[in-house]
Amino acid sequence: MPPPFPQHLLANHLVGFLGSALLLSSFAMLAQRRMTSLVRIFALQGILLTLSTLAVAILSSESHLLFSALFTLAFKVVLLPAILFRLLDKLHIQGEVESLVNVPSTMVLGLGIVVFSFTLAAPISELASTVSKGLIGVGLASLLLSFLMMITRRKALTQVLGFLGMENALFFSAINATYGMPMVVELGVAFDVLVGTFVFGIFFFQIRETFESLDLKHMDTTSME
Amino acid sequence: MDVSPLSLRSGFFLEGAQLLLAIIGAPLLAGWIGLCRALLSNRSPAGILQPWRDLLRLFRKETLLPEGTSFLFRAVPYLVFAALASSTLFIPFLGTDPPLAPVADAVVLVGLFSLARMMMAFGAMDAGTPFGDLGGRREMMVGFLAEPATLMILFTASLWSHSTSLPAIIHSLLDASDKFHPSLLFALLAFILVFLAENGRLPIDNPATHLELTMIHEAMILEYSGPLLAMMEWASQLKLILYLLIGADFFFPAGLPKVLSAGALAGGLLLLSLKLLVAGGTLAVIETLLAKLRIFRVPEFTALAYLLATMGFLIHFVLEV
Amino acid sequence: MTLLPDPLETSLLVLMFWGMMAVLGFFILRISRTFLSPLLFLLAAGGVTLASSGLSGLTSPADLHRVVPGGLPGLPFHFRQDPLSSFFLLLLGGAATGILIFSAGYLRSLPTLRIPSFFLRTALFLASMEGVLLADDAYLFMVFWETMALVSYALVVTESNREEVRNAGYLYLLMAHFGSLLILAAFFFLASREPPGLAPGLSAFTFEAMGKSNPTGGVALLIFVCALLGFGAKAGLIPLHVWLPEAHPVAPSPASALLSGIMLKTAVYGLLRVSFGLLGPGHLNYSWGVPVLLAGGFMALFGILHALLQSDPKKLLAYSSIENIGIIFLGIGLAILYIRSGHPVAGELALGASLYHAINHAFFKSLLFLGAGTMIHASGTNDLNTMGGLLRRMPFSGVLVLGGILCISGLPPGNGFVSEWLLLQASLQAGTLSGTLLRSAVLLGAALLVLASALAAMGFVKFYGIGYLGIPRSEGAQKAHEVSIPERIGMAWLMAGCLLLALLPVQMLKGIDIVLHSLTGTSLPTATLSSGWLWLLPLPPQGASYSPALLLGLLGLLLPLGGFLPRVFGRSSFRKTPVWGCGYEIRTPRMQDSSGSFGQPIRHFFANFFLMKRHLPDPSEKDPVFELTVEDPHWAFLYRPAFRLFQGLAALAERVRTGRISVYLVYSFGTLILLLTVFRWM
Repeated sequence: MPPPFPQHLLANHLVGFLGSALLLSSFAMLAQRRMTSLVRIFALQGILLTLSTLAVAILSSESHLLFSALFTLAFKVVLLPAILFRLLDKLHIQGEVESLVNVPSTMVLGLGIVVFSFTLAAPISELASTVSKGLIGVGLASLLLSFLMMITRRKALTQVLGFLGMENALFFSAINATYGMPMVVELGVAFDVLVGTFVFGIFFFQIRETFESLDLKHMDTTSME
Repeated sequence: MDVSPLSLRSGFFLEGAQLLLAIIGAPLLAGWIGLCRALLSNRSPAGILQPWRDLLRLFRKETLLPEGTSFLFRAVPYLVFAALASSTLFIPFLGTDPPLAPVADAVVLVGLFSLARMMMAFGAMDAGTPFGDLGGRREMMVGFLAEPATLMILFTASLWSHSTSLPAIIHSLLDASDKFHPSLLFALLAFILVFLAENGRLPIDNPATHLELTMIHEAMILEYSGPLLAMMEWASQLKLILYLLIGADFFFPAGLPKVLSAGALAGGLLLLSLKLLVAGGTLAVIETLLAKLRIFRVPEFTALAYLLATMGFLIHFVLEV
Repeated sequence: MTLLPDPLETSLLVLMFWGMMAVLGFFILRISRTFLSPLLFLLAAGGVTLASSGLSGLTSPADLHRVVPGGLPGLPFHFRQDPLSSFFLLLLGGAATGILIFSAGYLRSLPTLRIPSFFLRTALFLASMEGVLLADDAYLFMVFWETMALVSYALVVTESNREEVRNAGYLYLLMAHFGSLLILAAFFFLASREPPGLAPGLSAFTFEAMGKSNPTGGVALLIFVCALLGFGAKAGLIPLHVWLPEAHPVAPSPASALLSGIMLKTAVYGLLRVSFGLLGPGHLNYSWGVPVLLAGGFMALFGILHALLQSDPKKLLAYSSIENIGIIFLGIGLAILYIRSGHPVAGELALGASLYHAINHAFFKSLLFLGAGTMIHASGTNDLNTMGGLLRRMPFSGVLVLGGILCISGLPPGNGFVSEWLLLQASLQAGTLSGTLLRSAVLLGAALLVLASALAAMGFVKFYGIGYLGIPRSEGAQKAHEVSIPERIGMAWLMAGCLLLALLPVQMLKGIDIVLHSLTGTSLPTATLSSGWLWLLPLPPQGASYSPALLLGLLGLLLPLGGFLPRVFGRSSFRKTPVWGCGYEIRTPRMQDSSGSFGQPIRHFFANFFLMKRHLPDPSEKDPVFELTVEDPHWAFLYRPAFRLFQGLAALAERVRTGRISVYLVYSFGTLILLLTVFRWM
């Protein structure tokens, strides 16, 4: 049982503030049309995550969270965006994200998801002693929003970004609900994500060689055959 | 009803000062934005007084009335100006409690802006040119998209005070200024989007364009000339400063004097001008960075504003209560 | 004991007066048409009397009732004028007066109209609407309700030589009966319980007995749904609205105004009577408010979106009526939600705003329908695309219509704004509700309300901009001239009503508060009612305030300031010049926006709300024509399949009919045997 969250108002508000900024960035990813901006928002999400991990680390004086924050900074702010930018560059991906559902509808859907997550998380938040009330709902909402982005966007790279966004949201929830997972798990997940991104990158080249496009609908046809 | 603790005389003074300052300051702010934009795009600026010079020049000209227009065409600039000028009395920006503020709450303000917009569209359509109709139609279109978002922003800002009365909102925000308000973060972003849309700035409308097919605001005032045109231009500058004043009230209320003394008033005014200068500069940066959106992308823009504001509202109950 | 009749007696006198005038006027007018204006003024006098009776019923809250012999054995006619009736009587009398005065001028300009029968129908229609508001038992209510439906059908098909008119009328009759059946069902469920302390039998059908019935939750829900759909069919509840935009525009304009401005409100009255009056707020569940609220919001959006695409000004107004009824329903839903979840003040406010909007709508919608009548009369067609430039030619009525438009668009300081503002203030109390879902529903409702009212502003810019501004698009519009004096007085009467409602909201709320108190037992906050006529304070002490009179005063003060500036700074001389128009030399009326092009962005953004069929011309076509038809999707997805289903069923039933007598005798024989069997063994 982790110690109860310090009731210091300002710090509490700070964590809440960062959480809602994270939610905001998920929304921004949903609304964004340009690929490069998407990656930038992802990097920003990494920064927010680092900050909130740091804040929780200081508040709860759990030293391992400091390392988590450092890892987050290294992986999610520096390394992954760098890889993604390189991918964009190599694959000559520019311009706009193509979506299956038009953007306003996606955003209305996104709002519905937020309402749903907040409703769903309300009883859980009552139980949680660690978290500033409501952050679970915020984490859940960000997670589902990233999922929504994976569903509604067409290009393979946006799917990866959605996946990474989901991972961010999960990480955020974990940090706030339980002061993070054991170090080994965190490290494992971080490397998994990294490897995953590499694998995706290689896949992209293969996919493009085969179909001359990164549009997912071509993969649909292969599965039919 | 006891409207205010102020005495009648000082209240009257405050309202008069608000009206005059906003009316005189609006062209100056437009000049400042133009100056920043010129510097950012590496042109030599015309100076902060340029809009005033333009207005005075227009006022000295003769009014040319297009044939076939009705009396409404002549009345519109005054109606628009009156609707916006009256708003200066209700928005607290010199002190927290202008005595006339209870006349109109935030929703009424939105209504007044909407009244001005509708009148402008009528003026545009009265001449019976394709451009006027185009401008009026597009203006109304941007309006119906931005209005629900504006309302949601007001709702979010009013959550702390449980009231849409502007002084009440400001007081509650000033009292709670030692806290972070995540909900206001959402509302602020939404406000910026709505602000750009409602005032015909990039990326919705280009205030500098006279390219026929892309303009909104300019198309509406195409047939106006002389003093009538001056009134229209002045009114739109007034609208810009009013929006910024509302924004300053909601999101950066610090430093707004609660009591009326010469010192507090001067300090508040100084701080306010600083806020407006920064806001104008930021606007110039935004406009320099962004390209104009296709007109059918505008709903996405305003839908985002609406959703952000609504999220702010919901976030308030999840994180702040 | 005073010599003056009490409000109920006055109202009953007006009822008899209108009924008698209908018949009398019919015969007089058959002899000579010259008496038309005096007769209509007499009817209007009845309207004023009725409005004053309603007003006195609202100022002194007396519950008056009379039993009049007649009706069924054991169920004589019961009449009652309680505050709710009084409120709607005020609405009916006030709006009808303006419409009747207008008719005195307008009907003369319709040479083909059969005046005597039109007069008969109008007077009977008014009387039956009044009867609906006064009836105090289910039988009498249904008698008046059906009379109202039939007479209004007759009004709709006044020009029955046109096929579209006959079709619209038939559709209306069909929907009206569908609604009546459901209303009857609601009454049946209300009365089927044994009334406590009353003799069983037909007396269970008095409203008094129904009010005491104590239905269980399920039955209460059934009653509520029946009432909602039954009265909704009359009010234009989606998807039962399809008759409304067909039927309202084809009637002559004063009749359209009566239908849209007043008759729709009788449906609102009926819903409130059954749900809050007979069923009682205690039997409502807060969760019923959510669907009503969202349905209202959707109606508002759907109605105004379709209004934006119409080029017939009366059709535009008819769709806008759906929007306004949606706003009223939204308020009712909000009220149920708030009152039953323990927030009576916000609930009362929402219900009060609904009532306020009902009376507002009666005035401005009647005004606009009359205005549309003058527009159609001036241009000779019912197409906005043949109008334009009417303001210069009809300045007086043009300004009145402009006023109506500012009011209906929900702009301050108009009266539409007051009710929408109150509704928003009530929605703002969403924070006091528990649960994200409920809060979000209320917020969504508020957003739909604002979206609809902003769209309404666009729709009425189209209505006015294309109809009254610009340059004339046809010969007829070119030659338009100002309307007659009675028409102007009638429209000015309605505008005056709008102004009073706009500037004296507290006085109106005092009356509405009495209605609310009689319906729910709770009142608006005392500070709201005692704050003086100048200040509207819906949620004291810290809530927002609004002062329409001061706002109007300030606008009036600042207007000359604007006019003064050019004189200070320089010249104020005017010169007429040709239009600039970016320097294009050619300028024809056809270069202005047509009604279709003004609505184009709406069609683009909200494509899902419409069923559009485009015909793009082939390059090889000799006479290339671009065609676009826009339809209400309910036709394609609900009504046509339903019609096909019924036709199929009818075709099946048709097989029974063989044409041979012996087969028919077999049917009779079989039925007889079946019935005997049933009676013996069941």
